[in-house]
Amino acid sequence: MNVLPLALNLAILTYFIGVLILALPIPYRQLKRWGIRLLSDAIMAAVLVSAYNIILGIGDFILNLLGYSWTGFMSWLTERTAILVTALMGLTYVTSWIKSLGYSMILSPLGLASSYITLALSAIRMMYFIASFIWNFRSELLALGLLLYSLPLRIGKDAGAFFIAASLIMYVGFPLMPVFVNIFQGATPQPTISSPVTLTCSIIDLGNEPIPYPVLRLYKEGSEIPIGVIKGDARGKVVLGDNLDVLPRNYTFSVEVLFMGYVFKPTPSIIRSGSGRTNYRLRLPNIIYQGGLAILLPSSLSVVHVKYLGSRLEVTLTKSGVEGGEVRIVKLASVRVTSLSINNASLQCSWSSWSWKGVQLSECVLSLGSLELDSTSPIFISISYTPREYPSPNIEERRIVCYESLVDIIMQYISIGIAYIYSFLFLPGVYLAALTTMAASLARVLGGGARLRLI
Amino acid sequence: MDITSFIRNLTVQIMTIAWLIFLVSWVIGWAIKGSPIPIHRVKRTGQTLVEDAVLAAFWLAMGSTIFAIISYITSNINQPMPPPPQP
Repeated sequence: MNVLPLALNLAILTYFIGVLILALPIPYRQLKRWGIRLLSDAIMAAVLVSAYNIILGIGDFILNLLGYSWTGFMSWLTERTAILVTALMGLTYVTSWIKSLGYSMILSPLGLASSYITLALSAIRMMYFIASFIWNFRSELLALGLLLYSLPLRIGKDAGAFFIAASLIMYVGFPLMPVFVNIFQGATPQPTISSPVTLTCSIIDLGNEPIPYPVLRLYKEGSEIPIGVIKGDARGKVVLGDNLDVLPRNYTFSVEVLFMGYVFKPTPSIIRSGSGRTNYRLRLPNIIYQGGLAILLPSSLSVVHVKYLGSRLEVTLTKSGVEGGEVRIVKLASVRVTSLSINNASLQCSWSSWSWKGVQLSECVLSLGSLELDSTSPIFISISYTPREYPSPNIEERRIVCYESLVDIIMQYISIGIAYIYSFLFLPGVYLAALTTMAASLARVLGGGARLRLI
Repeated sequence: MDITSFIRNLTVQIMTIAWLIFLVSWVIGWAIKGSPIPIHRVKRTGQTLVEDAVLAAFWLAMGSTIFAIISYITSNINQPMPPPPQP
């Protein structure tokens, strides 16, 4: 059904009803005024119905004049949706990360932020809906408005006027939304996320060879209770931070290294966050390691020379003290020692076995005092064996989470959230409200504000 | 009969009734005005009825012309507009 001829016919009907009322032989002034009012309504409706194409064209004309288009607006909406989706994904990641750390009590502000972002996404979806509706159905909206406007006795005049006004104002207004938002968005301070602190520690033995799967235990300086237990990788690298820990800035940790069931004090034994240094080489001065076998030396012995020969380990030592001390040879239970000699004299060792964090180990203690060695000449130890890969110990990690830094991060996220709310919810909402108000004002102009005065 | 032709028929009927009512009003108006009642207020009512009836007759006669003029003017100023943008 064609709406426009119907609307025009309704306008003509209104006109003649008006004339009929004007011609009535009833000398009642109010009644006559109604007749005149209907006449003017009918003429106004006829003008609007005839100007259907002009009203449709005015929108495009104004948009062309201003240099904005619906294409630009739609791509702007897509861009903002992408930003929101990225933010939501980031927040979900952070939430799941914090959840994995077990600090569930700080999840509520993040949950709030993600609910705001979801809200902003819903707002954008609503905007998509309204914009698509206006863009696709504005001619139908205008025709429906004209039909309602033309109904006799002012039955649908207000609603019709609003539809007509909305079809014009919204069509011109939506593509201008990016300009409005960008102007006011520029005034908001952009939050800056400072990069998180990350420290990398390489754990090496006396001969600067990497220690596989070392366990780093971190203490607050002067405290006995560890604040973090972190396992390294097969190359002896331990990473602190890197989205796994929330390290405090300007903080000093004292560290210990756990390896093969023993605790070692590395050199240096103190690491600092925020000092500008991010890489540390922590050297264990009491251990020589190769392929599943380690020689643990007492501090009374100093190493002259070490040879890592794959299936053989050769160490030359000198005594720095009078007492002999004990040299411990620790190996994986699966490592088979084929020969062990001190100063080229073959030795038989009694191995005692134990298990540490799921790693099966054997140990042999060599008491140098009982070997009747010359106190001045160097000691030469040679061990031949079948090397094995050192397995990762089953140790429960305890990541470092500094509350102050965490609060910092959360505050930054909250400030981003506020900026998001301002830019993604508040500004478009205000603009939409302004558009609706403008449409209502124009509707008032069409529906009663500017009445034609014929008599 | 579709709704448009129904409204057209209704319009024609209302137009006919309006002409009849105009005649009645005009006659009543003149009758009151010319009646031998020496009350100025009554005479004035008759005068008002006649004036309103004439005015109604004028708008009734001008009806089709007014709508034709509106259509003529809008069709003349309805210049081709730029094409709508593509999404």
